[in-house]
Amino acid sequence: MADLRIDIASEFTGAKAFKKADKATAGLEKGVKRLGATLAATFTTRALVNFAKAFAQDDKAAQLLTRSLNNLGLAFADPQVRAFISELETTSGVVDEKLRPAFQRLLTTTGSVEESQRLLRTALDLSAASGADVVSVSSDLSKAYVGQTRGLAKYGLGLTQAELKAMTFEEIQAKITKLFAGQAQVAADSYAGSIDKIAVAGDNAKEIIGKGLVEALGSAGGTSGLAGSLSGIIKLATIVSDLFVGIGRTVAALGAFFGDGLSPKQAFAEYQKVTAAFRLEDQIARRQYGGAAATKYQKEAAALAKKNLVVVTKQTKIIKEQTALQKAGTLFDIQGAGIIAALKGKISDEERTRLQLQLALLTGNEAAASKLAGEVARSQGLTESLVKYYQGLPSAKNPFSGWLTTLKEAQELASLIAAGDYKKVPLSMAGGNDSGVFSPVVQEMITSSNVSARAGASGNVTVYVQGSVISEADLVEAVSNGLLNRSLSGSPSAIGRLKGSFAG
Amino acid sequence: MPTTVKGASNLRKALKQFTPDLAKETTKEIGNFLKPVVKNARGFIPANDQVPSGWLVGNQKGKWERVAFDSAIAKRGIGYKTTPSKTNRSGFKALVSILNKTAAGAIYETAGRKSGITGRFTPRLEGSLSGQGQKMQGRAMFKAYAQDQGKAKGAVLQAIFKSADKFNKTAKVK
Repeated sequence: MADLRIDIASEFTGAKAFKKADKATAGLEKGVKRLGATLAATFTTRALVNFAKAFAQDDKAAQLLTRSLNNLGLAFADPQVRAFISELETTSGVVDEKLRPAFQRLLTTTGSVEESQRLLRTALDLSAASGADVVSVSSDLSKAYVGQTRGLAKYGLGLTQAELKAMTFEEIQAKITKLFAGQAQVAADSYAGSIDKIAVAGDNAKEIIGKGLVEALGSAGGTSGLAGSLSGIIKLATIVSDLFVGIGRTVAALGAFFGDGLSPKQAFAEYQKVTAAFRLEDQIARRQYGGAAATKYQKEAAALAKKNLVVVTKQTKIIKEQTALQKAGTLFDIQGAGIIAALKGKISDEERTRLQLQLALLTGNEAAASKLAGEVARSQGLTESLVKYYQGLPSAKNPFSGWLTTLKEAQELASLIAAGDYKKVPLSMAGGNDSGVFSPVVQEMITSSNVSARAGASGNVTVYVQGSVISEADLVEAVSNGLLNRSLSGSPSAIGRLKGSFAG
Repeated sequence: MPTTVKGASNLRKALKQFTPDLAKETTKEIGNFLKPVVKNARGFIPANDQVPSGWLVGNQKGKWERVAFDSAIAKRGIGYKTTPSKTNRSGFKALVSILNKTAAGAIYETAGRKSGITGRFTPRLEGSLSGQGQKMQGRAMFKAYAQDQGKAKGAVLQAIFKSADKFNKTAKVK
């Protein structure tokens, strides 16, 4: 329990929490100030850019109108037109960015400054009454001026298309004036018109400030003008950027040097490491900004690219060779399989030796290959020697060379016999014996031209049997003995006959 | 509410370092202004026979023994202090204070201040609560301080300012 006490006098010294809060508040205040400054700078820059843009747009529109006046030979009227646009802008509350294009369209159509001014006022009245944009109204009026009155129907003039076509432009203009005269002034004098006038004044102020800004930048650039100023701004920004980078690097380097638990040597090594990394960054960055470093870098890069190209070419070549070798290896495998299959077949010794030699060459068996090569060579040598030997032999008759001739003659004779031309058939062939001498009766039959005579001819044919068979009895006995001997010899025909199981 | 004196701690340190006599004199002077208040406060502490008998020392056992009442002890517990206290959570440090340090004295001082004179104990206490506001109400010290009507406070502050003037005159470069 706290003591009960009455404090007569006290002093505010501030609590820790208060100090922290104070510090935090101060930090926050600084941050807010920085943010405010940044925002202010941003908005100021943006505002300046907007001013410059407004001036640029206005200047562009003014120059276009001036060019139109020059082209129409009305350059002398340029100041008058500028004053007219300015006065109209102030009184009507329509910005000059709209008035100038509208006036330009009317001017190019009518070719007259006065007529354009009059039509522009009419267009402003019509625009205020219809709510359409003054540029669009001017465009429609300029078209109507040359006879294209279709666009005017939408403004509610109370005229049909046919009436519009039938009326002249002056009549239409009179109708518009009658209907809408003073509308622009009424609109300008209204509250909304006043707001528009304020907006116009603001726009003009922006244009004036923008013009001043551009001129100021041009003056600041000296002899180089605006380009010099812009270059200076970029240089300044670069310097500021480099300054920030430098501060950051210094902090990083000091942090590395004063790292916790580092000996002086280690601290220095860390410091060198950090600074070396920064130097490398600078070196890389300088290449992007041109100058000697960039030229050197480009040369180095070109040399490196050339070197890389050589290496790539070599690698490509090696890959191609490897691919070819792989392909060849696959081919050898196929050949090897074919050789092994052939070796399993029925082949001659020489062919076997050759196949074995091919297989040895494929498999890289040098010892076997050299041995087999010697055998093949020897075999080839022997074959050549044999060929030479045969070539050296004297020529000998072919014992079968006459067969073909004989067969051809037999074919011819058979053809003759088949055709019935027996006279041409040689007797030696028709007689059936070697001697070529037939009995008189047979000779008569052969030589006779009368076939029927030959058919009717009769005679005895005597068969002379040499040996012991002289009589018929001898013949019967001889046959019987023959059959008996055969039967006794165990001939199958005889056995079958006895059993009755064979036909004979 | 205490009066805030800016730079009082530094003044006290400076006095002790450069003008120790003035420091002692100031302390003594402040004490002289506070002693009457303390004396009156002690006078409001009841005698032992004026409090419930069960609250007296010897009749309380265990944890209640610590808060048992003894008139003499309670009176001695009321005093004043001229040395600065530790800074509280709000950032203030007390330079001069009047204290009621004992537990029994504090109970007598504040009983019924928050809950009213109700229950079995508080109505039996003699003396009435005096002082403005709940936190400045009491039966002894606060009562005496209230009866003093700020005289002691004004005198203490006057003494501090006076010593500051003396010190400044002493330290001024001629």
